[in-house]
Amino acid sequence: MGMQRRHFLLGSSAILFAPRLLLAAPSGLGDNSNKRGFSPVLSAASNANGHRIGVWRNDGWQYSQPINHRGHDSAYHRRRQELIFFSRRPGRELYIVDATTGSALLTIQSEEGYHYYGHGCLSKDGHYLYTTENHIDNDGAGSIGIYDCENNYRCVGHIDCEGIGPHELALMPDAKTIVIAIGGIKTLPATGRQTLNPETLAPALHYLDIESRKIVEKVAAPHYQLSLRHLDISPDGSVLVGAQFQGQLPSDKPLVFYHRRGQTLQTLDTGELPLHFKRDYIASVSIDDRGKWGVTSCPRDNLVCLWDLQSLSLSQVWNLRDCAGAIYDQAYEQFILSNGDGQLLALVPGNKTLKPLAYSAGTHWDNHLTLCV
Amino acid sequence: MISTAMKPMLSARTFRAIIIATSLSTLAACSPPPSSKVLIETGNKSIISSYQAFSLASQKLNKAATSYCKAAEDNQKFETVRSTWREAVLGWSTVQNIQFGPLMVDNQAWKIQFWPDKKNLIARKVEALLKESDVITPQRVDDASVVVQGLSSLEYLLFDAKAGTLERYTGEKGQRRCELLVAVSDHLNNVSSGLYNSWRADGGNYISTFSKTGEKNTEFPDDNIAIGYLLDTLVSGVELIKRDKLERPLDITTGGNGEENHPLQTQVYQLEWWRSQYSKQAIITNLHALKNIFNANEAYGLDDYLRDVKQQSALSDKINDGFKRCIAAASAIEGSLFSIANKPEHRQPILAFDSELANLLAVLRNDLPTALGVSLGFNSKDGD
Repeated sequence: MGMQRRHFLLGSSAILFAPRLLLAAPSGLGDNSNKRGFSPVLSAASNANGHRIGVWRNDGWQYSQPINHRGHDSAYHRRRQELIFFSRRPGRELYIVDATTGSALLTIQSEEGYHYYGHGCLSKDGHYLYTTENHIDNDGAGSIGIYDCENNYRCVGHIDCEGIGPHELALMPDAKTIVIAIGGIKTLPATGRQTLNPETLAPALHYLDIESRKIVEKVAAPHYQLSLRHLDISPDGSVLVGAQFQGQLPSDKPLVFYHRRGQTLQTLDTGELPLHFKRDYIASVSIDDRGKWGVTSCPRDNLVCLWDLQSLSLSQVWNLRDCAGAIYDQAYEQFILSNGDGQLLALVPGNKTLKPLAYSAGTHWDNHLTLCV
Repeated sequence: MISTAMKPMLSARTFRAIIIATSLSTLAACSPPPSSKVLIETGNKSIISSYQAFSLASQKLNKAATSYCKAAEDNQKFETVRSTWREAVLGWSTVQNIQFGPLMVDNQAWKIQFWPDKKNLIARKVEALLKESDVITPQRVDDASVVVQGLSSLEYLLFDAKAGTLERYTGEKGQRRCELLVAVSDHLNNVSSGLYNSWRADGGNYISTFSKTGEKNTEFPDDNIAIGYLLDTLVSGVELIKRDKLERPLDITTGGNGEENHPLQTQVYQLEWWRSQYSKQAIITNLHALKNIFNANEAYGLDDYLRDVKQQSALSDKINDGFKRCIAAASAIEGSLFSIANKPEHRQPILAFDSELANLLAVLRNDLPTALGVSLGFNSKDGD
């Protein structure tokens, strides 16, 4: 295989920021502010001074550290008490952070000839980490990297995911299958973020059987330019997936779909109203703990949508500038939203308005949030 | 005795001086920072005034429709309904691009305008409703599809070459058409006055939400966030005019550089207000309204804020000049966009207008966010 593994131990050389003193009460209840409580979240963020990754708790960073470029999604390894931050394309770093102290433990470099797409997921037992990668040296073929969490996140191999541009992926409730959103867009570092295959995109949902390392089901997107990028899984194994349209905008096409293994892709109904999308771009997708509600953020249209997953229809829409991350916070029965304006807000299904959770002036929250619980 | 008599006098004077000093300092403390002043004045002098004007125009339209339907053969009254509809469209054009507040809640914008209507739904749904037998009331209109509501539906009822003529309002069938005309205009009146009331300090008081930012504000934790929404309003307003109101329907693909070398494939039925051929006037009103928001209607607006606080007088002037040039270029187009869309001899002024829009948009997108210190969209630009 000729794998060249490069691990960088950062340890004490990393510039760390001590946890700031947290004066605010953990819950908004009882104090005189109108803020709700929320669980701590992992996120990448940027401000005028650069980019960072860390955990935000209540009104400030519990800890954070600078990185050289924009981050993207993250994962929380509960058993190992480690945080994993993924680089976005064409980044080649995975950052492993101690969840207790916030100190940087490892920086993993992708294998030679590969780069990351910004997402990853853990195996049920937490032994392995799976990441979506671009196999640059194989003409941009999509690949799933496998890393051994118990062994310094050493790369132990790659699986061909049979589709170009794999983006977000998640472990199915059966713990044996991984669902992958195949974006379809081919890019190579030499040509930056330019789409090299605009006429032949093949976006899809692919299901990977972990044991056999084979793709066992493929579901094509309804249109070749509907790049499927972000997804979440309901407790019953249903998948909610959001698209980003790659043709002339607006496309007037539905952008959110629902899928159950073995069935066809279902379109979520927006009623008679075409959502007033002008830029056709879904960023984060999140489902609640019971699979009743789904949330999608649309930063280019400044919209957040709440979907009723029972009726597969649009329930409510909010206007939120540059909204990015969306994650369900079970402890507080709310979705947490983040945006490029430094706001964290709560979306509670059934409530007419979004509630402020925290605000960090000058901070741009990046696309995705992960709960640190 | 003297000294004791003087004492209270001195104290009274000192006391008065203290009161004056205190009230002066209170005044100084009350005077909002420039960023808040921008929000207060833009909200009060520009945005609320526009909602008020739209509400009044809708009321006028409703009255004209009601009056006309008492004598549906009266051509003069029919023309009055048409002209009040035009006024209402101009009223709507002043608030159409606002990217925050009550307009964004519960599809209010769709209730006012259904556009573009790519599948000709307006004609189909309005005619279907007319064929039903139940009584047409504003409530019935509200319960029905947004397609039969608002200015778009009224445009069909008043200007469609077949359905929007005086003849269609006479006779037995005409009666029902008149009932719909009155009910839809009544419904529009409710929607527009609802929006105006939501903004007013003595109504829903959204002006306070917008202009009193802070930690307890559910939408705007500080002034910069609210200014960001004003920036979005300007940028997306000009984008909508350029892309959706001009380039798409008129097949302009030059990107503003004036060169065209392909047979035109215009889509005139995607022009805004094509039935009434009122597209150009609506665009010009949009541009005036956006300029008005930028200047807080001559009060303390983003223009002054750029000058006083950000030391960006040149940029402030450049943006105002850009709006003026766009308005002049649009006004220089002769005839309605619908009627000249496919006439090569009319192409040049249309392309000249498009080019002015491109120039203005470039300044609003590239220079204004940096100058204001507000991001146009971090994840929007390049989210992955």
